[in-house]
Amino acid sequence: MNRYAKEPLFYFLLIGLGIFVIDHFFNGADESIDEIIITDDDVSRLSQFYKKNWNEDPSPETIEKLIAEYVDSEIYYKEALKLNLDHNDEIIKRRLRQKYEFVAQDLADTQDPSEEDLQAFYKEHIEDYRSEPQITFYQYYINSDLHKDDVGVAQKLYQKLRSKQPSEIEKSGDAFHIVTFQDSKELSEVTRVFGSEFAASLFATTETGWQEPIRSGFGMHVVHVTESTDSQEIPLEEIIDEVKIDWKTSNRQYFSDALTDAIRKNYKIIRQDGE
Amino acid sequence: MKTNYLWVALVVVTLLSCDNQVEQSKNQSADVADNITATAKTVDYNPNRNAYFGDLHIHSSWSFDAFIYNVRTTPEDAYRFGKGEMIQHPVAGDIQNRRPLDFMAVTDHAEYMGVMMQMLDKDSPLAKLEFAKRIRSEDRAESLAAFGEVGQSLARNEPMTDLIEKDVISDTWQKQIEIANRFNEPGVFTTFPAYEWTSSPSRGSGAPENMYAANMHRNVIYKGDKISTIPFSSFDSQDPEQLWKWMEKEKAKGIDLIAIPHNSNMSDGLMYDKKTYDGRPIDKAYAQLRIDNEPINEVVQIKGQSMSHPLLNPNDEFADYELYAYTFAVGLPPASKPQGSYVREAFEQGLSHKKELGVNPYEFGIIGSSDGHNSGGPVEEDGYFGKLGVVDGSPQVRLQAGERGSRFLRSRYMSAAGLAGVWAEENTRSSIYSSLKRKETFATSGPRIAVRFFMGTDFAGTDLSDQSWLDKAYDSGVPMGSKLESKTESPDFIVWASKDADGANLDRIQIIKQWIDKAGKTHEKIYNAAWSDKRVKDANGNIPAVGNTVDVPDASYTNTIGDATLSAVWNDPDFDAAQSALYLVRVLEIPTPRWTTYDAKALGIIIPDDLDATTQERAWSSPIWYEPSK
Repeated sequence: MNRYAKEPLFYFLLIGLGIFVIDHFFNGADESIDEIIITDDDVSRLSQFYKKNWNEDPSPETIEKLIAEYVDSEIYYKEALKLNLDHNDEIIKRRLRQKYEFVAQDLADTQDPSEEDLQAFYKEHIEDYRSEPQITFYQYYINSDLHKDDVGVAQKLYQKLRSKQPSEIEKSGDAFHIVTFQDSKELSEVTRVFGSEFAASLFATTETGWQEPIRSGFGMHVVHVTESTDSQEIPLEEIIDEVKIDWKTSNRQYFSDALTDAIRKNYKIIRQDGE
Repeated sequence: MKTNYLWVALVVVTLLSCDNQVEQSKNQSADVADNITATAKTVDYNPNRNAYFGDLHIHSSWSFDAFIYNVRTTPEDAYRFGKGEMIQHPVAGDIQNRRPLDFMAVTDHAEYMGVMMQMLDKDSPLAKLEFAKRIRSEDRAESLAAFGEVGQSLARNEPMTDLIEKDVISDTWQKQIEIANRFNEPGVFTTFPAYEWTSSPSRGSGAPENMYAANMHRNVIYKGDKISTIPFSSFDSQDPEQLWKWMEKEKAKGIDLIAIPHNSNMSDGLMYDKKTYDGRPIDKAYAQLRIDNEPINEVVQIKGQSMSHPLLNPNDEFADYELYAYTFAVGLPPASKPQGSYVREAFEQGLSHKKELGVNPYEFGIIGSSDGHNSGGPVEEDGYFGKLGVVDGSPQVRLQAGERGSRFLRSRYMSAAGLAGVWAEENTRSSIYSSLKRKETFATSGPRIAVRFFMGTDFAGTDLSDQSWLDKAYDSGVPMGSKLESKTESPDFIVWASKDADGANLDRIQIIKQWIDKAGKTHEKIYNAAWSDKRVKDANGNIPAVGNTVDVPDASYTNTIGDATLSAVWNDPDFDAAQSALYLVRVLEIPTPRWTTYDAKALGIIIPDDLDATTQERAWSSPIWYEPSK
């Protein structure tokens, strides 16, 4: 008896027997018989599956064998469910959760946004649909490789230039491979050409006109901001495809969250941990 | 429980009405793709050409190996990453490019492209295969065994036929093309439809038969107007000559495409062998076929650089850089033979082939790229996230798992990714593709160093202080990637380089000259052309080392040494008008911390002593060839 007591299977059988007896007692023997129905569809599915694996059609005997295996597998499936063998099985839990989540995803994917949906989504996420800010500016370069005190030299140049208009200045500062006049440059373009440090400082300026010298990876720059355009909202018509893709992504998330919320309502969570 | 039934009902109703809508969204993406043929010049158009930086070698989960290493991001995610958006890494969290790329090509392996992902997709016929169940198995041992069979089939070059049915391949390939087209945005972000031909034979490489061994890989890049219906994969042939012959047939159909070999350093001498793949001596037809189809070679990426090796370039003090001289072979002394594996040697050989055959099979230009398998390339040393998903996604596995990161990849010896540089009028498909075809390209080990290089006969005394010299350089000289045929006159060179605006200063510009003498012997010599900090050249032409500001434990450096830009008009003191020669430029940065130094800091450990704490990142130009005119 001791040996059996350690064997989980023993308990499974015991419990199974218990259920059987109870079931028999309440429902009567005849009514408890489950039906397993084999249709033409089932047979054709089994045959196709066989063909895929073995590259030939199954013979009538083989078909009978496949049906027998299928029946066994269904019986085991049903019996296992009766014994709650699916409970506390991480793999089954994960798979079932996945299936449930697919449902939400499928549901989301079949929806297309209406005009109003897109309008509303666009308005709600307008920060994502703005053009980049632009600045038109002149920059006069101080080469740090040539001047030890590059900050001081740049400051002197700034003092010298600030009483003039850029149009009056023919050439000033050190030679540089990047041209002095930069017309309507977007933030990303300035970053690409002058680097992130310079771009951040330049776009942080608040007024047009001469600026205190700005540092880049190349050295110091005395800058005159001629015009700056703030970032603008891009009209919906121009970016409707992008908005549509974003709407779909967001819709997927929405359905997934909604599903979680909906089914969570069926449960009361009782925390007994940490007591 | 009512809510649950409601959901199910909703699902059933909506599923019944869905087919239509899927069709509609397909049509919409076709409309977007039509917008790619812009003909007007974009805002940044520059007749003297801009430097654009890109990556023509990126893998997503549609590559079988990336999938195996738990990467689940798609080619779409890869292009998003290229544009600067944040994407998911299987272990490193969210990854993002600090600066967007200008151009890009997703080059998923043609062999089993997209097959792994489809096995997860319940609507795909592949998901129903018995094999797919093993791939999906929750039992990691079972799924790894199944993955192993995929790898083995590639090594034996015996495809698993269920997985490469024409419909499946064609469907995935069409999706790749559609995605590349959708992300192409003239003037902002250029994409090219592409794939990788993954020939990795054991043959001739000293590895046992049927082993995934020598790297003969090529990326096939399409200009984008017209594209092959099905990629030519290594299952069709492992012989590059067969790939080129197929490409010729595709070109005859009006399809514009090039092949870019990479990681010759891992080819065990096969990439630039003196024989063809099937053992014939290289002849004129072979040389012509090769250069017609392979105008560009990729020379630096995560699996090291393929330019130089100290054994082949013993007089080059900077040759020993990011060496990764292994093959893929498992369980062997895995060294990849240097001879036949490096580009500088190939360039020299090319001069000999030209003399013998009249055609130079190695008159190619060079680029760098990443070969990242995380739908993104880890370009920055201080933001390295590895090459292969879970295999090398964390500092712990990279630095603390011993010398071997995985069975055949040695993570800590890998390099942070390289970049492809091109000189193009504007950021469009036609402009950048033309740069590749005319080889006006350069390679960098990651930083956005821009390097200009011209050869001409009236450059003496040119003022290089601003960019006005460029008009003359283009008018009367030839840029990198070109050939100058001349007589008697001694040509001049203009070299110019600017640092990465967000990176380290520059140490020096060198010119590497190779030539062939009357006896047919080839030579190489390296000249310092421009250098920082007013250092003094000694009688032998050497410049003292630039110094080192790296604080190793802190993994930091300062730009107190080095220069922001360097330039020179240079004249070859040993020029002989009767000798065929080539010249290429190498630009070195000042020393900075290697990515492993940042990892060591993050882990709070001392750097393993088999690793260099600092590195000198660099850029290489495509050569300019000089030929005496007859």
